[in-house]
Amino acid sequence: MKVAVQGASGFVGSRLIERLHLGGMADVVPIVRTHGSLSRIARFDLDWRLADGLDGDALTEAFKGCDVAFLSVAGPEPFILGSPAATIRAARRAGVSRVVYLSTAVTLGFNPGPGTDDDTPPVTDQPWTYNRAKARAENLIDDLRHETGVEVVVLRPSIVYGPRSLSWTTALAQRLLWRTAFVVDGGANVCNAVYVDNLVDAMWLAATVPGAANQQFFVADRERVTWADMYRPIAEAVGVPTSEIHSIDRAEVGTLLTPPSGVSARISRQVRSERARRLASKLPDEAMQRFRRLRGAWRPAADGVRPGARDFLSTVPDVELLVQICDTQLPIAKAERILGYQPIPFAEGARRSAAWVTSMGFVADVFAPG
Amino acid sequence: MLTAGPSEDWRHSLRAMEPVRVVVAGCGLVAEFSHLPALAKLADDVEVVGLVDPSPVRREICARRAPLAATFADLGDALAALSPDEVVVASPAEFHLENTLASLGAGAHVICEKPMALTSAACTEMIGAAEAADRLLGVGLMRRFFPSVQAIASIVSNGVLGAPVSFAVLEGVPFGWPGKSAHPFRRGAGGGVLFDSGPHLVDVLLFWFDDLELADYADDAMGGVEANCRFRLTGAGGVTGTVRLSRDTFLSNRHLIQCERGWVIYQYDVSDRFYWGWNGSPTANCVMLSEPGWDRPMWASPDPQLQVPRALSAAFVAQHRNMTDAIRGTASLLVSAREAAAGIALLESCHASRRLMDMPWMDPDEIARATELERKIPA
Repeated sequence: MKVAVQGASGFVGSRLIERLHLGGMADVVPIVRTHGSLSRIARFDLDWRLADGLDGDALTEAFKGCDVAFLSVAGPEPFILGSPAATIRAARRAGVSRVVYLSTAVTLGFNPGPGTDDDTPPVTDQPWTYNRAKARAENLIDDLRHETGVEVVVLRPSIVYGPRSLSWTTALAQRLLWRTAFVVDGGANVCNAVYVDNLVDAMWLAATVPGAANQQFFVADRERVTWADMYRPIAEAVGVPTSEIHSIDRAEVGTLLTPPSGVSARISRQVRSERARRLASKLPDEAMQRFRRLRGAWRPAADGVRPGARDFLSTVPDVELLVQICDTQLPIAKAERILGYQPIPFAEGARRSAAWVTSMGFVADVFAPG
Repeated sequence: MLTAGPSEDWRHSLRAMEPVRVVVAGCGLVAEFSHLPALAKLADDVEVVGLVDPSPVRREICARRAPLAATFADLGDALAALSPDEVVVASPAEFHLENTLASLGAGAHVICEKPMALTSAACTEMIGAAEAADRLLGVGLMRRFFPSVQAIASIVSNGVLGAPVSFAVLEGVPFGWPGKSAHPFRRGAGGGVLFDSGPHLVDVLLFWFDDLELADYADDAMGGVEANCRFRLTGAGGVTGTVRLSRDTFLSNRHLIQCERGWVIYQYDVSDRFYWGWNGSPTANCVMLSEPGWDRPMWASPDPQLQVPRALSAAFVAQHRNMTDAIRGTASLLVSAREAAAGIALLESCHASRRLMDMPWMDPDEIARATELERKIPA
């Protein structure tokens, strides 16, 4: 089987290529937008191709001879909304019979309600741009299936961790080393984690299992994983005690989020910005005190908290806070039943992630020499 | 001697106020965004008279930064037509030998982009040609011009923190050079992180430490070129060091030197400061180095992707200033071709002793296949 991988240079795409190529499972055709994206792919002797994800003609040319196309890309809203149509129509023109589309579990929000399953419709009126765009993209895909006759399988992972994960492995290690690691509610909330190898195995099954056609699946590790579970192996790997991880209450998260819009939001963003902090540091003491009070007005300190040690929380991206307020473990029963999905245990995924962190030199003594 | 003592014949052939006439061979991004803006800053002393590239599009783009330069598809034509004083060889690495020999043969001094060449044999040939022609041969290892790199060299050599015991280098940034060709990824063309980031790093290490030799090298090439590598070095006085280079992930980008009584940290590409401390002390000291001009932006790129750090742009200016002064006989080259060649020899020994990196996050079956693919890579 010959497969095309769009988003070949990314965290998931590059691991998919690595696994398919080293496993001898398929002839892989990596597709990248620019030469600059070739560093991971160029480790192998592969027939890579250049194509922009919105350029239907270039994609058609790149897909020639392929049986399956994987679409695993990230980008701004217009790209998220435009790339499925470009890919699926190009697939039809090139004779590709199936497209595997990597969506996300946050199409159902950061904290989907109890009873959520794989067939729950995506929520398209969410206030968060990425979630909303991915939800709308799923709906567009439904139309494109009918229009083109191409089989499309949609996978919805949530927190994808593992080697090269910038958001959920590298960032955790860096936060630990910089003493800016934090959990909500003591780390007891659900983290719908999926080890990257489990995800790429699910992608391969989605490409090859006949019964998967035109279905959507949650993909996650089997265990109920918490945020404390996520941090623990990384903390051990970098040599930072878990007691150094800050904990905040769920109720406090709302005060840390960027206000959504309007004049008030613009003022808030300016006051909270790094540039404002730098400018303020040059003010006389009295003016500095006033500035600090103004910043404080937008980010009330929690009781019993050393303000200095937690100042970083005002700069944490909203998504990092919101994903930690989740009570629902997403089901993988459908993936197990139809795809034959059999994830490796979380403990093994965590061990491999920690091994990668150590291998990359994320260790405390480099940050605190002597 | 090609680096320190230019002969009387040509030292006085350039009148003091006469601009050095420069041809830039290769109109890629390093020429467009680094060499040409730097040369423009030295316009009183340097005149870009020619641009060479097989691509008319690239010639036209670079001509916007050197509007008075004549353009050529072939370096031989440019050398014959212009008889330049200096050639900046900024072509892909596989052409450095050929372009340098042609330029030296035409009587021009040369500053060659890194890597100087892809083999030690090629470096030797280039040095021999420069000596035979009695012309300067400089190499684009501009990080050596950073005040921080120079200051750390002083600290290590004068022993204020005691003798160096060990060093650890972690350098890694996802590859972001928006180049228009696949040269940085082709085996045999200088592709791979070792010959991409390695020349700068090894040059700095050889500057800081004496008699460095390779102890062990591994990378993650599996039929192609490496995105990650690690190696261990040993040096004079029993110093030992580890190096980790990556162009697929962010590392801490620190060079930590552990000495008998204290430590020093160079932060990757930070030219105007470094950090040090005494062993056992809870305090880290940040030393700000002031040298007029280093902290000012030299130029602004119209493309946010190409915002070269100010330190780098200033270092390119310093490098070209040094070359111009050396051509005029008022300075020696700060980075000699022999030093650059020593770096290439070390990198070459890395590839010669390659083995597959340990990747404990992969399945045993994958490792077996990866090892098989690695063994097929020609030395």
